[in-house]
Amino acid sequence: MNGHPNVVDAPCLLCQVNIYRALQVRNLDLYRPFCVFKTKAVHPVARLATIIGGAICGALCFGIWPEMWKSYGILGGWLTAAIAISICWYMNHWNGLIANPPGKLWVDQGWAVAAAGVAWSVVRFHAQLLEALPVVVCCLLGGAAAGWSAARIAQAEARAQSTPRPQETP
Amino acid sequence: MVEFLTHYVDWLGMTPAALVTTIFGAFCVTFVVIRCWGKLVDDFGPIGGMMAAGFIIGTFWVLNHKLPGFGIHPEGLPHPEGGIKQFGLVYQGFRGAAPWVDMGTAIAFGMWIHGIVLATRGKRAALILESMPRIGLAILGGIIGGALTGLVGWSGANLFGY
Repeated sequence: MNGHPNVVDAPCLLCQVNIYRALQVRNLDLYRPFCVFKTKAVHPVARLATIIGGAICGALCFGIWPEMWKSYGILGGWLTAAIAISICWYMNHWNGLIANPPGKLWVDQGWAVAAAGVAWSVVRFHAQLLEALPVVVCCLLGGAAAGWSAARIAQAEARAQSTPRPQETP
Repeated sequence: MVEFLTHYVDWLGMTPAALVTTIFGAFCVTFVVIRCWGKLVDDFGPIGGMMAAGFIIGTFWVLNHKLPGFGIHPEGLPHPEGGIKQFGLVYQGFRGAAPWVDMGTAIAFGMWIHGIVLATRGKRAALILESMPRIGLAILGGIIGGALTGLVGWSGANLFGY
Protein backbone atom coordinates (compact mmCIF):
# COMPACT_ATOMS: atom_id res chain seq x y z
CA MET A 1 0.00 0.00 0.00
CA ASN A 2 3.01 2.25 0.28
CA GLY A 3 2.80 5.18 -2.06
CA HIS A 4 -0.80 4.52 -2.97
CA PRO A 5 -2.41 7.90 -3.81
CA ASN A 6 -5.73 7.03 -2.18
CA VAL A 7 -4.42 5.68 1.09
CA VAL A 8 -5.27 8.03 3.94
CA ASP A 9 -5.07 7.93 7.70
CA ALA A 10 -8.37 7.12 9.35
CA PRO A 11 -9.59 6.37 12.86
CA CYS A 12 -10.21 2.86 14.00
CA LEU A 13 -13.78 1.69 13.49
CA LEU A 14 -13.98 0.23 16.96
CA CYS A 15 -12.21 2.51 19.38
CA GLN A 16 -11.94 5.68 17.23
CA VAL A 17 -8.61 6.43 18.84
CA ASN A 18 -5.89 4.77 16.92
CA ILE A 19 -4.93 5.35 13.35
CA TYR A 20 -5.36 2.92 10.51
CA ARG A 21 -4.54 3.68 6.92
CA ALA A 22 -7.60 3.30 4.76
CA LEU A 23 -8.02 2.96 1.05
CA GLN A 24 -10.15 5.93 0.04
CA VAL A 25 -11.86 6.41 -3.30
CA ARG A 26 -14.29 9.29 -3.90
CA ASN A 27 -14.41 10.11 -0.19
CA LEU A 28 -15.55 6.59 0.63
CA ASP A 29 -13.44 4.41 2.87
CA LEU A 30 -13.24 1.25 0.82
CA TYR A 31 -11.51 -0.52 3.63
CA ARG A 32 -11.27 0.83 7.13
CA PRO A 33 -10.42 -1.96 9.54
CA PHE A 34 -9.43 -1.89 13.16
CA CYS A 35 -6.55 -0.23 14.91
CA VAL A 36 -3.34 -2.15 15.01
CA PHE A 37 -0.86 0.44 13.89
CA LYS A 38 -0.31 2.70 16.89
CA THR A 39 -0.92 0.11 19.57
CA LYS A 40 1.72 -2.16 20.98
CA ALA A 41 -0.48 -5.23 21.09
CA VAL A 42 -2.55 -6.32 18.14
CA HIS A 43 -6.21 -5.40 18.41
CA PRO A 44 -8.39 -8.45 19.24
CA VAL A 45 -10.46 -8.08 16.10
CA ALA A 46 -7.31 -7.73 14.00
CA ARG A 47 -6.07 -10.94 15.62
CA LEU A 48 -9.26 -12.65 14.56
CA ALA A 49 -8.85 -11.17 11.08
CA THR A 50 -5.31 -12.53 10.85
CA ILE A 51 -6.47 -16.01 11.86
CA ILE A 52 -9.34 -15.95 9.37
CA GLY A 53 -7.12 -14.72 6.55
CA GLY A 54 -4.56 -17.43 7.25
CA ALA A 55 -7.21 -20.12 7.46
CA ILE A 56 -8.82 -19.18 4.16
CA CYS A 57 -5.49 -18.95 2.38
CA GLY A 58 -4.33 -22.31 3.71
CA ALA A 59 -7.63 -23.99 2.90
CA LEU A 60 -7.64 -22.61 -0.66
CA CYS A 61 -4.05 -23.70 -1.33
CA PHE A 62 -4.41 -27.27 -0.15
CA GLY A 63 -8.05 -27.75 -1.02
CA ILE A 64 -7.75 -27.00 -4.72
CA TRP A 65 -4.05 -27.12 -5.63
CA PRO A 66 -3.67 -30.95 -5.64
CA GLU A 67 -7.00 -31.36 -7.41
CA MET A 68 -6.12 -28.85 -10.10
CA TRP A 69 -2.77 -30.58 -10.59
CA LYS A 70 -4.47 -33.96 -10.85
CA SER A 71 -6.95 -32.68 -13.42
CA TYR A 72 -4.89 -30.30 -15.53
CA GLY A 73 -1.25 -31.07 -14.80
CA ILE A 74 1.34 -28.29 -14.87
CA LEU A 75 -1.08 -25.72 -16.25
CA GLY A 76 -3.54 -26.55 -13.47
CA GLY A 77 -0.90 -25.86 -10.85
CA TRP A 78 0.08 -22.59 -12.50
CA LEU A 79 -3.57 -21.61 -12.84
CA THR A 80 -4.19 -22.35 -9.17
CA ALA A 81 -1.51 -19.89 -8.19
CA ALA A 82 -3.10 -17.32 -10.47
CA ILE A 83 -6.60 -17.77 -9.07
CA ALA A 84 -6.02 -18.74 -5.42
CA ILE A 85 -2.89 -16.87 -4.39
CA SER A 86 -4.01 -13.74 -6.24
CA ILE A 87 -7.31 -13.40 -4.41
CA CYS A 88 -5.69 -14.43 -1.12
CA TRP A 89 -3.01 -11.78 -1.59
CA TYR A 90 -5.69 -9.22 -2.46
CA MET A 91 -7.59 -10.03 0.72
CA ASN A 92 -4.69 -10.58 3.09
CA HIS A 93 -2.17 -7.98 1.97
CA TRP A 94 -3.81 -5.41 -0.28
CA ASN A 95 -6.93 -5.14 1.87
CA GLY A 96 -4.80 -5.84 4.92
CA LEU A 97 -6.64 -8.68 6.63
CA ILE A 98 -3.34 -9.97 8.02
CA ALA A 99 -2.12 -7.32 10.46
CA ASN A 100 0.90 -5.55 8.97
CA PRO A 101 1.56 -2.16 10.56
CA PRO A 102 3.82 0.17 8.53
CA GLY A 103 7.40 0.23 9.70
CA LYS A 104 7.11 -3.18 11.31
CA LEU A 105 8.36 -6.55 10.12
CA TRP A 106 6.34 -8.06 7.30
CA VAL A 107 4.16 -11.04 8.20
CA ASP A 108 3.42 -12.88 4.99
CA GLN A 109 0.55 -15.23 4.23
CA GLY A 110 3.31 -17.73 3.49
CA TRP A 111 3.39 -18.50 7.21
CA ALA A 112 -0.23 -19.61 6.96
CA VAL A 113 0.37 -21.63 3.80
CA ALA A 114 3.35 -23.38 5.37
CA ALA A 115 1.42 -24.27 8.52
CA ALA A 116 -1.59 -25.35 6.48
CA GLY A 117 0.51 -27.70 4.34
CA VAL A 118 1.84 -29.50 7.39
CA ALA A 119 -1.53 -29.62 9.16
CA TRP A 120 -3.33 -30.75 6.00
CA SER A 121 -0.99 -33.66 5.35
CA VAL A 122 -0.96 -34.69 9.01
CA VAL A 123 -4.76 -34.81 9.18
CA ARG A 124 -5.39 -36.23 5.73
CA PHE A 125 -2.44 -38.59 5.17
CA HIS A 126 -1.34 -39.25 8.76
CA ALA A 127 2.05 -37.76 7.97
CA GLN A 128 4.73 -37.95 10.64
CA LEU A 129 5.25 -34.41 11.86
CA LEU A 130 8.98 -34.56 12.61
CA GLU A 131 9.89 -35.97 9.20
CA ALA A 132 9.29 -32.51 7.76
CA LEU A 133 11.95 -30.96 9.96
CA PRO A 134 15.05 -31.28 7.70
CA VAL A 135 13.20 -29.88 4.69
CA VAL A 136 11.76 -27.05 6.78
CA VAL A 137 15.25 -26.17 7.98
CA CYS A 138 16.50 -26.19 4.37
CA CYS A 139 13.63 -23.92 3.33
CA LEU A 140 14.35 -21.53 6.19
CA LEU A 141 18.05 -21.49 5.24
CA GLY A 142 17.31 -20.71 1.60
CA GLY A 143 14.74 -18.10 2.52
CA ALA A 144 17.04 -16.43 5.02
CA ALA A 145 19.86 -16.33 2.47
CA ALA A 146 17.55 -14.72 -0.07
CA GLY A 147 16.20 -12.20 2.45
CA TRP A 148 19.68 -11.26 3.60
CA SER A 149 21.12 -10.87 0.12
CA ALA A 150 18.09 -8.95 -1.17
CA ALA A 151 18.37 -6.58 1.79
CA ARG A 152 22.10 -6.08 1.17
CA ILE A 153 21.44 -5.37 -2.50
CA ALA A 154 18.67 -2.90 -1.61
CA GLN A 155 20.98 -1.12 0.82
CA ALA A 156 23.73 -0.90 -1.78
CA GLU A 157 21.27 0.47 -4.33
CA ALA A 158 20.01 3.08 -1.87
CA ARG A 159 23.57 4.11 -1.10
CA ALA A 160 24.44 4.37 -4.78
CA GLN A 161 21.37 6.54 -5.41
CA SER A 162 22.08 8.87 -2.51
CA THR A 163 25.71 9.56 -3.44
CA PRO A 164 26.03 12.02 -6.35
CA ARG A 165 27.62 10.62 -9.44
CA PRO A 166 30.70 12.33 -10.82
CA GLN A 167 29.95 14.68 -13.69
CA GLU A 168 30.64 13.21 -17.06
CA THR A 169 33.11 15.25 -19.04
CA PRO A 170 31.78 16.20 -22.45
CA MET B 1 30.49 -36.97 -6.69
CA VAL B 2 27.28 -38.31 -8.21
CA GLU B 3 27.37 -41.25 -5.82
CA PHE B 4 27.73 -38.91 -2.85
CA LEU B 5 24.96 -36.62 -4.05
CA THR B 6 22.47 -39.37 -4.72
CA HIS B 7 22.91 -41.69 -1.73
CA TYR B 8 20.07 -41.60 0.79
CA VAL B 9 21.14 -40.11 4.12
CA ASP B 10 19.05 -41.86 6.72
CA TRP B 11 19.16 -39.31 9.55
CA LEU B 12 18.46 -36.51 7.11
CA GLY B 13 15.62 -38.32 5.39
CA MET B 14 16.84 -37.25 1.94
CA THR B 15 19.82 -37.25 -0.38
CA PRO B 16 22.44 -34.49 -0.37
CA ALA B 17 21.21 -33.58 -3.84
CA ALA B 18 17.73 -32.99 -2.41
CA LEU B 19 19.28 -30.84 0.31
CA VAL B 20 21.00 -28.64 -2.28
CA THR B 21 17.95 -28.38 -4.53
CA THR B 22 15.69 -27.51 -1.59
CA ILE B 23 17.92 -24.67 -0.44
CA PHE B 24 18.35 -23.42 -4.00
CA GLY B 25 14.62 -23.53 -4.75
CA ALA B 26 13.81 -21.72 -1.52
CA PHE B 27 16.42 -19.07 -2.30
CA CYS B 28 15.16 -18.47 -5.85
CA VAL B 29 11.49 -18.02 -5.05
CA THR B 30 12.14 -15.86 -1.99
CA PHE B 31 14.55 -13.60 -3.82
CA VAL B 32 12.18 -13.08 -6.74
CA VAL B 33 9.23 -12.39 -4.43
CA ILE B 34 11.18 -9.82 -2.42
CA ARG B 35 12.59 -8.10 -5.49
CA CYS B 36 9.57 -8.15 -7.78
CA TRP B 37 6.27 -8.39 -5.93
CA GLY B 38 6.43 -4.97 -4.29
CA LYS B 39 7.67 -3.36 -7.51
CA LEU B 40 4.82 -4.93 -9.49
CA VAL B 41 2.33 -3.55 -6.96
CA ASP B 42 3.97 -0.13 -7.21
CA ASP B 43 3.76 -0.22 -10.99
CA PHE B 44 0.32 -1.73 -11.56
CA GLY B 45 -1.53 -1.43 -8.23
CA PRO B 46 -3.60 -4.39 -7.00
CA ILE B 47 -3.65 -5.82 -10.53
CA GLY B 48 0.14 -6.01 -10.30
CA GLY B 49 -0.12 -8.04 -7.10
CA MET B 50 -2.55 -10.43 -8.70
CA MET B 51 -0.28 -10.72 -11.74
CA ALA B 52 2.60 -11.44 -9.39
CA ALA B 53 0.64 -14.29 -7.83
CA GLY B 54 0.45 -16.04 -11.19
CA PHE B 55 3.80 -15.07 -12.61
CA ILE B 56 5.91 -15.56 -9.49
CA ILE B 57 4.11 -18.14 -7.34
CA GLY B 58 2.69 -20.06 -10.30
CA THR B 59 5.95 -20.21 -12.17
CA PHE B 60 7.95 -21.09 -9.11
CA TRP B 61 5.38 -23.69 -8.15
CA VAL B 62 6.38 -25.50 -11.33
CA LEU B 63 10.02 -25.20 -10.33
CA ASN B 64 9.60 -26.13 -6.67
CA HIS B 65 6.49 -28.21 -6.20
CA LYS B 66 5.63 -29.92 -9.46
CA LEU B 67 4.50 -33.34 -8.26
CA PRO B 68 5.69 -36.65 -9.63
CA GLY B 69 3.30 -38.44 -11.96
CA PHE B 70 0.98 -36.96 -14.52
CA GLY B 71 -2.63 -35.95 -14.83
CA ILE B 72 -5.06 -37.76 -12.60
CA HIS B 73 -2.50 -40.40 -11.61
CA PRO B 74 -0.09 -38.41 -9.45
CA GLU B 75 1.03 -41.38 -7.40
CA GLY B 76 4.52 -40.95 -8.75
CA LEU B 77 6.95 -42.69 -11.03
CA PRO B 78 8.75 -45.42 -9.10
CA HIS B 79 12.50 -45.10 -9.00
CA PRO B 80 14.40 -48.26 -10.02
CA GLU B 81 16.11 -48.31 -6.61
CA GLY B 82 12.91 -47.71 -4.69
CA GLY B 83 11.15 -44.54 -3.65
CA ILE B 84 9.60 -41.94 -5.86
CA LYS B 85 11.23 -39.73 -8.44
CA GLN B 86 11.33 -36.14 -7.38
CA PHE B 87 10.66 -33.39 -9.90
CA GLY B 88 10.34 -30.27 -7.80
CA LEU B 89 13.31 -28.54 -6.22
CA VAL B 90 11.77 -28.49 -2.72
CA TYR B 91 12.05 -32.06 -1.51
CA GLN B 92 8.91 -33.85 -0.38
CA GLY B 93 8.90 -37.20 1.32
CA PHE B 94 6.60 -39.80 -0.16
CA ARG B 95 2.97 -38.73 0.16
CA GLY B 96 1.67 -39.95 3.48
CA ALA B 97 5.06 -40.41 5.11
CA ALA B 98 6.23 -36.81 5.57
CA PRO B 99 4.19 -33.61 5.87
CA TRP B 100 4.02 -31.24 2.93
CA VAL B 101 6.63 -28.51 3.18
CA ASP B 102 5.61 -25.49 1.15
CA MET B 103 7.81 -22.83 -0.40
CA GLY B 104 5.65 -20.38 1.58
CA THR B 105 7.88 -21.27 4.52
CA ALA B 106 10.87 -19.86 2.70
CA ILE B 107 9.03 -16.79 1.40
CA ALA B 108 7.58 -15.81 4.77
CA PHE B 109 10.83 -16.36 6.66
CA GLY B 110 12.86 -14.62 3.97
CA MET B 111 10.66 -11.52 3.99
CA TRP B 112 10.89 -11.47 7.78
CA ILE B 113 14.71 -11.69 7.66
CA HIS B 114 14.71 -9.03 4.91
CA GLY B 115 12.91 -6.65 7.25
CA ILE B 116 15.29 -7.41 10.11
CA VAL B 117 18.41 -6.81 8.01
CA LEU B 118 17.01 -3.53 6.66
CA ALA B 119 16.09 -2.26 10.15
CA THR B 120 18.49 -0.17 12.17
CA ARG B 121 20.56 -2.15 14.62
CA GLY B 122 19.07 -0.96 17.90
CA LYS B 123 15.45 -1.53 16.86
CA ARG B 124 15.72 -5.10 15.66
CA ALA B 125 14.85 -6.86 18.94
CA ALA B 126 11.72 -4.73 19.45
CA LEU B 127 10.62 -5.36 15.87
CA ILE B 128 11.08 -9.12 16.25
CA LEU B 129 9.13 -9.13 19.53
CA GLU B 130 6.32 -7.09 17.95
CA SER B 131 6.03 -9.40 14.96
CA MET B 132 6.02 -12.65 16.95
CA PRO B 133 2.33 -12.66 17.96
CA ARG B 134 1.27 -11.73 14.42
CA ILE B 135 3.33 -14.60 12.99
CA GLY B 136 1.83 -16.94 15.58
CA LEU B 137 -1.68 -15.86 14.63
CA ALA B 138 -1.01 -16.38 10.93
CA ILE B 139 0.39 -19.85 11.68
CA LEU B 140 -2.61 -20.62 13.89
CA GLY B 141 -4.94 -19.61 11.09
CA GLY B 142 -3.00 -21.81 8.68
CA ILE B 143 -3.23 -24.79 11.03
CA ILE B 144 -7.00 -24.32 11.37
CA GLY B 145 -7.54 -23.98 7.62
CA GLY B 146 -5.21 -26.81 6.69
CA ALA B 147 -6.56 -29.22 9.30
CA LEU B 148 -10.15 -28.52 8.33
CA THR B 149 -9.30 -29.00 4.65
CA GLY B 150 -7.54 -32.24 5.54
CA LEU B 151 -10.77 -33.53 7.02
CA VAL B 152 -12.09 -34.20 3.51
CA GLY B 153 -9.96 -37.33 3.66
CA TRP B 154 -12.33 -38.47 6.41
CA SER B 155 -15.56 -37.57 4.69
CA GLY B 156 -15.91 -41.01 3.04
CA ALA B 157 -15.69 -39.88 -0.58
CA ASN B 158 -13.40 -42.06 -2.68
CA LEU B 159 -12.52 -40.25 -5.89
CA PHE B 160 -9.68 -41.70 -7.98
CA GLY B 161 -8.67 -43.68 -4.93
CA TYR B 162 -7.88 -40.66 -2.76
